[in-house]
Amino acid sequence: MRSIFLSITIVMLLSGCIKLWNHHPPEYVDSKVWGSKPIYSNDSTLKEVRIDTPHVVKNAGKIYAYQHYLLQCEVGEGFHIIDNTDPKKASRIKFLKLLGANEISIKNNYLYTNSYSDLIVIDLNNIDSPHIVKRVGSAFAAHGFLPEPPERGYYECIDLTKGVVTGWAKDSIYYGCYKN
Amino acid sequence: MKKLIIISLLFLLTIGVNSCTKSDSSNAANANTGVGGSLARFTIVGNYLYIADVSSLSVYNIIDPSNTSFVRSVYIGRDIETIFPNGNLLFIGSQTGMFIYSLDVPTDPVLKGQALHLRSCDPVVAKDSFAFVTLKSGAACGTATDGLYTYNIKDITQPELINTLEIPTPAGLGYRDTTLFVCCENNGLAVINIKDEKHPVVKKMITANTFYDVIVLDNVLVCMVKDGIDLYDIEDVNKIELLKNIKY
Repeated sequence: MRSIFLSITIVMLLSGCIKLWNHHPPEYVDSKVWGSKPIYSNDSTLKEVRIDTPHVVKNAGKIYAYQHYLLQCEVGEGFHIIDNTDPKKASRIKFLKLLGANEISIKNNYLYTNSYSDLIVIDLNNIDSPHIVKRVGSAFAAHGFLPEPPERGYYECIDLTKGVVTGWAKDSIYYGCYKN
Repeated sequence: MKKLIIISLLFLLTIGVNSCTKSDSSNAANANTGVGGSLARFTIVGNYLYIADVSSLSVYNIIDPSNTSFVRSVYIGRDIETIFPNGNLLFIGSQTGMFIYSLDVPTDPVLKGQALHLRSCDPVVAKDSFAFVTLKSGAACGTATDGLYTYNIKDITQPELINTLEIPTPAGLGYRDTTLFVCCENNGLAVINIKDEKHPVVKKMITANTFYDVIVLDNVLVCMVKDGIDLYDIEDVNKIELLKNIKY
């Protein structure tokens, strides 16, 4: 009897009826898992743009070239500005802080980006005092424009009604989003 | 009259100089508009900003930046990932295919052609009558075979797959003249000769880093790599040299 049970189990394992592992994240997880949790803030000054001294790159995003500058997104936090006048000496010179940013396009010193799902236009004519000249709320579907945690794995999906995301913490979380 | 001749000569000279010094690259920049990598979702063509979100293409009028205004949004399909401009065409990469939109009327992008493929991640760049697409399989992407897929787009309504070159984990890409640079993540950077677009040939694999995306800035290749940004001198593709590694 025991050997029949064992052979049935083996057959089921081989046939794939029972999966010991799964390469894809399951769509639903009923229990809590260890993952990343967004840290929210409702401080309205965080919605503004400002120039800062160069930052260390933690969660590198997309790259962009404009005149003698290179820009690289710090996912969800802003942009590293690199002076590329002489490529051999290229280095980060400033940081343009804008929470929720991960896209970039520039024309005539105006930078078009996103803060989460809002479209933001920043006047860069004076690089040391950038300011937002236009914000279009919920300009596009949030999916694909929301910041992800720095590490792969499960994370609690972002709920923008709770505020802007200022960071991530490791915690025991309910299922939700997954970063590959 | 003499003045007119001099002006004409100067004009011709300017054209001549421009056509000699300007290389043909995937990132045709001008002084006023910047260039993104091949993994971008935002792009500017003329006075319009085009945004590819997960399923739609939105058009914004940016003639007056502080009055940037929504023009329209067209539904494209599922799992849209990248947008790439070439002339008056927009190439949209999704997990299921490449879509070509005409910008003959800039405010009204019209779907002209598409090429569907197995599920994968796939940035696109286009050069003349050819479009180069990298397909990468994997948990997040899908089941297609990793490689560089070349389409003949002479007739944009009927993109025709003319070549498949197997390369491992291809991601972002860009070209300069007859050289295509394909980021292959931890497998390196593939330097591919596309003189004969129908038969791309891998000339070299630069394995110094893990490569994700590139921008071609005339004779400098800007690479998004694992530990920073690498700048390579690509003036002579047989002598590609690292100029700078801007470390994170």
